[in-house]
Amino acid sequence: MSLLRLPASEDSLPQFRQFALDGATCAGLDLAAQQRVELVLEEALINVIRHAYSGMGPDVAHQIELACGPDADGVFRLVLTDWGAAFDPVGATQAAQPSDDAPADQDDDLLSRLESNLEADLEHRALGGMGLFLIRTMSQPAYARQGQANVLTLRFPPTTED
Amino acid sequence: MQFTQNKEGVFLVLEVEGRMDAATSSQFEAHCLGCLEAGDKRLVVDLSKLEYISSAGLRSILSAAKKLKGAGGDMAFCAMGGIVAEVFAVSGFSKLFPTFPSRQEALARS
Repeated sequence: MSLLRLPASEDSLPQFRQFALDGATCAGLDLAAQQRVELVLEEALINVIRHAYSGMGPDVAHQIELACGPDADGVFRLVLTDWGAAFDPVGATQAAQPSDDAPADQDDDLLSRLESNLEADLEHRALGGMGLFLIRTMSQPAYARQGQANVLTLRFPPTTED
Repeated sequence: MQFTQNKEGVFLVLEVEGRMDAATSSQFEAHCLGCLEAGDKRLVVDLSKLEYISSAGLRSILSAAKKLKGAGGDMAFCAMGGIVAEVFAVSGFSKLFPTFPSRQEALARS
Protein backbone atom coordinates (compact mmCIF):
# COMPACT_ATOMS: atom_id res chain seq x y z
CA MET A 1 0.00 0.00 0.00
CA SER A 2 1.43 3.36 -0.98
CA LEU A 3 0.33 6.55 0.72
CA LEU A 4 -0.20 10.17 -0.28
CA ARG A 5 -1.24 12.92 2.12
CA LEU A 6 -2.21 16.33 0.75
CA PRO A 7 -4.20 19.41 1.80
CA ALA A 8 -8.00 19.04 1.55
CA SER A 9 -8.18 21.36 -1.43
CA GLU A 10 -9.39 21.03 -5.01
CA ASP A 11 -5.84 21.88 -6.06
CA SER A 12 -4.87 18.44 -4.75
CA LEU A 13 -7.25 16.59 -7.09
CA PRO A 14 -4.82 16.08 -10.00
CA GLN A 15 -2.10 14.62 -7.74
CA PHE A 16 -4.51 12.27 -5.99
CA ARG A 17 -5.91 11.23 -9.37
CA GLN A 18 -2.49 10.42 -10.82
CA PHE A 19 -1.50 8.55 -7.67
CA ALA A 20 -4.62 6.35 -7.80
CA LEU A 21 -4.32 5.74 -11.55
CA ASP A 22 -0.68 4.72 -11.16
CA GLY A 23 -1.73 2.30 -8.43
CA ALA A 24 -4.57 0.92 -10.54
CA THR A 25 -2.25 0.45 -13.51
CA CYS A 26 0.30 -1.35 -11.33
CA ALA A 27 -2.46 -3.62 -10.03
CA GLY A 28 -3.32 -4.56 -13.61
CA LEU A 29 -6.83 -3.05 -13.77
CA ASP A 30 -8.25 -2.69 -17.26
CA LEU A 31 -9.19 0.69 -18.70
CA ALA A 32 -12.86 0.44 -17.73
CA ALA A 33 -11.94 -0.36 -14.12
CA GLN A 34 -9.36 2.43 -14.05
CA GLN A 35 -12.02 4.89 -15.14
CA ARG A 36 -14.31 3.70 -12.33
CA VAL A 37 -11.45 4.19 -9.86
CA GLU A 38 -10.90 7.71 -11.17
CA LEU A 39 -14.60 8.56 -10.94
CA VAL A 40 -15.23 7.14 -7.47
CA LEU A 41 -12.08 8.84 -6.19
CA GLU A 42 -13.18 12.23 -7.51
CA GLU A 43 -16.62 11.87 -5.93
CA ALA A 44 -15.20 10.81 -2.56
CA LEU A 45 -12.54 13.54 -2.53
CA ILE A 46 -14.96 16.29 -3.51
CA ASN A 47 -17.24 15.32 -0.62
CA VAL A 48 -14.40 15.59 1.85
CA ILE A 49 -12.88 18.74 0.34
CA ARG A 50 -16.16 20.66 0.23
CA HIS A 51 -17.75 19.47 3.46
CA ALA A 52 -15.58 17.63 5.97
CA TYR A 53 -13.64 20.55 7.38
CA SER A 54 -16.16 23.37 7.07
CA GLY A 55 -16.26 25.32 10.31
CA MET A 56 -13.20 23.61 11.76
CA GLY A 57 -10.34 25.66 13.09
CA PRO A 58 -6.60 25.38 12.51
CA ASP A 59 -6.18 22.89 15.38
CA VAL A 60 -7.30 20.18 12.95
CA ALA A 61 -5.05 19.33 10.01
CA HIS A 62 -7.16 20.02 6.92
CA GLN A 63 -5.69 17.10 5.07
CA ILE A 64 -6.67 13.97 3.23
CA GLU A 65 -4.66 10.78 3.12
CA LEU A 66 -5.07 8.37 0.24
CA ALA A 67 -3.73 4.84 0.23
CA CYS A 68 -4.11 2.44 -2.65
CA GLY A 69 -3.18 -1.08 -3.59
CA PRO A 70 -4.52 -4.60 -3.45
CA ASP A 71 -6.07 -5.85 -0.19
CA ALA A 72 -5.50 -9.28 1.40
CA ASP A 73 -7.83 -10.85 -1.19
CA GLY A 74 -5.94 -9.22 -4.05
CA VAL A 75 -8.78 -6.77 -4.76
CA PHE A 76 -7.65 -3.24 -5.65
CA ARG A 77 -8.86 -0.63 -3.20
CA LEU A 78 -8.55 3.01 -2.23
CA VAL A 79 -8.54 4.04 1.42
CA LEU A 80 -9.40 7.68 2.10
CA THR A 81 -8.82 9.15 5.53
CA ASP A 82 -9.80 12.61 6.76
CA TRP A 83 -10.00 14.16 10.21
CA GLY A 84 -13.12 16.23 9.66
CA ALA A 85 -16.71 15.96 10.83
CA ALA A 86 -18.10 12.43 10.99
CA PHE A 87 -19.94 11.56 7.81
CA ASP A 88 -20.87 8.12 6.52
CA PRO A 89 -21.28 8.29 2.73
CA VAL A 90 -22.14 4.59 2.58
CA GLY A 91 -25.07 4.43 5.00
CA ALA A 92 -25.87 8.12 4.58
CA THR A 93 -28.57 7.88 7.21
CA GLN A 94 -27.96 11.39 8.40
CA ALA A 95 -29.25 14.45 6.64
CA ALA A 96 -27.53 15.47 3.46
CA GLN A 97 -24.60 17.72 4.10
CA PRO A 98 -25.16 21.43 3.75
CA SER A 99 -24.02 22.28 0.29
CA ASP A 100 -24.03 25.29 -1.95
CA ASP A 101 -25.08 23.14 -4.87
CA ALA A 102 -27.82 21.19 -3.17
CA PRO A 103 -31.31 22.58 -2.72
CA ALA A 104 -32.31 23.33 0.88
CA ASP A 105 -35.12 20.77 0.89
CA GLN A 106 -32.70 17.85 0.74
CA ASP A 107 -33.00 16.78 4.34
CA ASP A 108 -34.97 13.57 3.88
CA ASP A 109 -33.31 10.22 4.19
CA LEU A 110 -30.55 10.44 1.62
CA LEU A 111 -30.80 6.90 0.33
CA SER A 112 -34.48 6.92 -0.46
CA ARG A 113 -34.19 10.42 -1.87
CA LEU A 114 -31.37 9.33 -4.18
CA GLU A 115 -33.31 6.38 -5.44
CA SER A 116 -36.57 8.19 -6.04
CA ASN A 117 -34.58 10.93 -7.75
CA LEU A 118 -33.44 8.42 -10.36
CA GLU A 119 -37.04 8.03 -11.48
CA ALA A 120 -37.86 11.73 -11.45
CA ASP A 121 -38.47 13.61 -14.68
CA LEU A 122 -36.39 16.55 -15.82
CA GLU A 123 -38.39 19.17 -13.96
CA HIS A 124 -38.39 17.32 -10.66
CA ARG A 125 -34.97 15.78 -10.71
CA ALA A 126 -32.75 17.24 -7.98
CA LEU A 127 -29.25 18.42 -8.81
CA GLY A 128 -27.46 17.00 -5.75
CA GLY A 129 -26.67 13.57 -4.40
CA MET A 130 -25.33 11.99 -7.58
CA GLY A 131 -21.78 11.69 -6.28
CA LEU A 132 -22.74 9.42 -3.38
CA PHE A 133 -24.86 7.37 -5.71
CA LEU A 134 -21.97 6.86 -8.14
CA ILE A 135 -19.66 5.85 -5.28
CA ARG A 136 -22.12 3.15 -4.26
CA THR A 137 -22.77 1.99 -7.81
CA MET A 138 -19.21 1.86 -9.11
CA SER A 139 -17.37 0.49 -6.07
CA GLN A 140 -17.88 -1.51 -2.90
CA PRO A 141 -17.59 1.17 -0.23
CA ALA A 142 -17.18 0.66 3.51
CA TYR A 143 -17.04 3.42 6.10
CA ALA A 144 -15.61 3.50 9.61
CA ARG A 145 -15.19 6.28 12.15
CA GLN A 146 -11.84 5.55 13.76
CA GLY A 147 -11.15 7.92 16.66
CA GLN A 148 -11.25 11.38 15.13
CA ALA A 149 -10.93 10.10 11.58
CA ASN A 150 -13.32 9.14 8.77
CA VAL A 151 -11.94 6.11 6.94
CA LEU A 152 -13.59 5.23 3.65
CA THR A 153 -12.50 2.04 1.92
CA LEU A 154 -13.48 1.70 -1.74
CA ARG A 155 -12.98 -1.73 -3.29
CA PHE A 156 -12.95 -2.50 -6.99
CA PRO A 157 -13.48 -6.23 -7.44
CA PRO A 158 -13.26 -7.57 -10.99
CA THR A 159 -16.67 -7.29 -12.66
CA THR A 160 -18.19 -10.23 -14.44
CA GLU A 161 -21.57 -8.84 -15.45
CA ASP A 162 -20.16 -6.93 -18.39
CA MET B 1 -13.22 21.07 -22.35
CA GLN B 2 -13.59 22.08 -25.99
CA PHE B 3 -16.75 22.78 -27.95
CA THR B 4 -17.42 22.50 -31.66
CA GLN B 5 -20.84 23.42 -32.92
CA ASN B 6 -22.76 23.54 -36.14
CA LYS B 7 -26.34 24.07 -37.14
CA GLU B 8 -28.25 21.10 -38.59
CA GLY B 9 -31.79 22.14 -39.50
CA VAL B 10 -33.64 23.07 -36.31
CA PHE B 11 -30.91 21.60 -34.12
CA LEU B 12 -27.60 22.90 -32.93
CA VAL B 13 -25.10 20.05 -32.77
CA LEU B 14 -22.64 20.60 -29.96
CA GLU B 15 -19.61 18.34 -29.84
CA VAL B 16 -17.89 18.22 -26.46
CA GLU B 17 -14.27 17.12 -26.19
CA GLY B 18 -12.21 16.41 -23.09
CA ARG B 19 -13.28 15.90 -19.49
CA MET B 20 -16.35 17.00 -17.53
CA ASP B 21 -15.06 16.90 -13.97
CA ALA B 22 -15.23 19.02 -10.84
CA ALA B 23 -12.77 21.51 -12.33
CA THR B 24 -14.26 21.88 -15.81
CA SER B 25 -17.94 20.98 -15.76
CA SER B 26 -19.33 24.49 -15.22
CA GLN B 27 -18.07 25.36 -18.73
CA PHE B 28 -20.70 23.07 -20.22
CA GLU B 29 -23.64 24.85 -18.64
CA ALA B 30 -22.13 28.24 -19.46
CA HIS B 31 -21.70 27.21 -23.09
CA CYS B 32 -25.28 25.92 -23.36
CA LEU B 33 -26.62 29.14 -21.87
CA GLY B 34 -24.60 31.02 -24.47
CA CYS B 35 -26.29 28.94 -27.18
CA LEU B 36 -29.67 29.70 -25.64
CA GLU B 37 -28.95 33.43 -25.62
CA ALA B 38 -27.94 33.18 -29.26
CA GLY B 39 -31.36 31.67 -30.01
CA ASP B 40 -30.44 27.98 -30.19
CA LYS B 41 -32.62 26.05 -27.79
CA ARG B 42 -32.74 22.60 -29.37
CA LEU B 43 -29.37 21.00 -28.72
CA VAL B 44 -27.96 17.65 -29.85
CA VAL B 45 -24.88 17.03 -27.74
CA ASP B 46 -22.34 14.70 -29.35
CA LEU B 47 -20.31 13.03 -26.60
CA SER B 48 -18.13 10.79 -28.79
CA LYS B 49 -15.00 12.75 -27.79
CA LEU B 50 -15.87 13.14 -24.13
CA GLU B 51 -13.38 11.01 -22.20
CA TYR B 52 -14.73 11.31 -18.68
CA ILE B 53 -17.69 12.57 -16.70
CA SER B 54 -18.33 12.76 -12.96
CA SER B 55 -21.34 13.89 -10.92
CA ALA B 56 -20.17 17.47 -11.41
CA GLY B 57 -20.67 16.97 -15.14
CA LEU B 58 -24.10 15.42 -14.62
CA ARG B 59 -25.08 18.39 -12.49
CA SER B 60 -23.96 20.83 -15.16
CA ILE B 61 -25.93 18.94 -17.83
CA LEU B 62 -29.04 18.74 -15.67
CA SER B 63 -28.92 22.40 -14.78
CA ALA B 64 -28.46 23.44 -18.42
CA ALA B 65 -31.23 21.10 -19.59
CA LYS B 66 -33.69 22.48 -17.05
CA LYS B 67 -33.01 26.00 -18.32
CA LEU B 68 -33.37 24.95 -21.96
CA LYS B 69 -36.67 23.24 -21.17
CA GLY B 70 -37.86 26.33 -19.32
CA ALA B 71 -37.22 28.29 -22.50
CA GLY B 72 -39.16 25.78 -24.61
CA GLY B 73 -36.10 23.93 -25.86
CA ASP B 74 -34.65 20.49 -25.33
CA MET B 75 -31.41 18.54 -25.17
CA ALA B 76 -30.55 15.15 -26.63
CA PHE B 77 -27.32 13.18 -26.50
CA CYS B 78 -25.55 10.91 -28.91
CA ALA B 79 -22.49 8.75 -29.53
CA MET B 80 -21.31 8.28 -25.97
CA GLY B 81 -18.99 5.43 -25.07
CA GLY B 82 -16.92 3.97 -22.24
CA ILE B 83 -17.26 5.46 -18.78
CA VAL B 84 -19.54 8.22 -20.11
CA ALA B 85 -22.11 5.68 -21.32
CA GLU B 86 -21.77 3.78 -18.05
CA VAL B 87 -22.37 6.91 -15.94
CA PHE B 88 -25.36 7.89 -18.10
CA ALA B 89 -26.85 4.43 -17.63
CA VAL B 90 -26.43 4.07 -13.86
CA SER B 91 -27.48 7.65 -13.11
CA GLY B 92 -30.69 7.25 -15.10
CA PHE B 93 -29.64 10.05 -17.49
CA SER B 94 -30.15 7.77 -20.48
CA LYS B 95 -33.83 7.56 -19.46
CA LEU B 96 -34.09 11.22 -18.50
CA PHE B 97 -32.85 12.41 -21.89
CA PRO B 98 -33.30 11.22 -25.45
CA THR B 99 -30.05 9.38 -26.24
CA PHE B 100 -29.00 7.98 -29.59
CA PRO B 101 -26.16 5.74 -30.75
CA SER B 102 -25.22 8.14 -33.54
CA ARG B 103 -25.53 11.79 -34.51
CA GLN B 104 -27.54 10.83 -37.60
CA GLU B 105 -30.15 9.09 -35.47
CA ALA B 106 -30.35 12.04 -33.10
CA LEU B 107 -30.97 14.39 -36.03
CA ALA B 108 -33.54 12.10 -37.63
CA ARG B 109 -36.02 12.62 -34.79
CA SER B 110 -38.61 15.36 -35.18
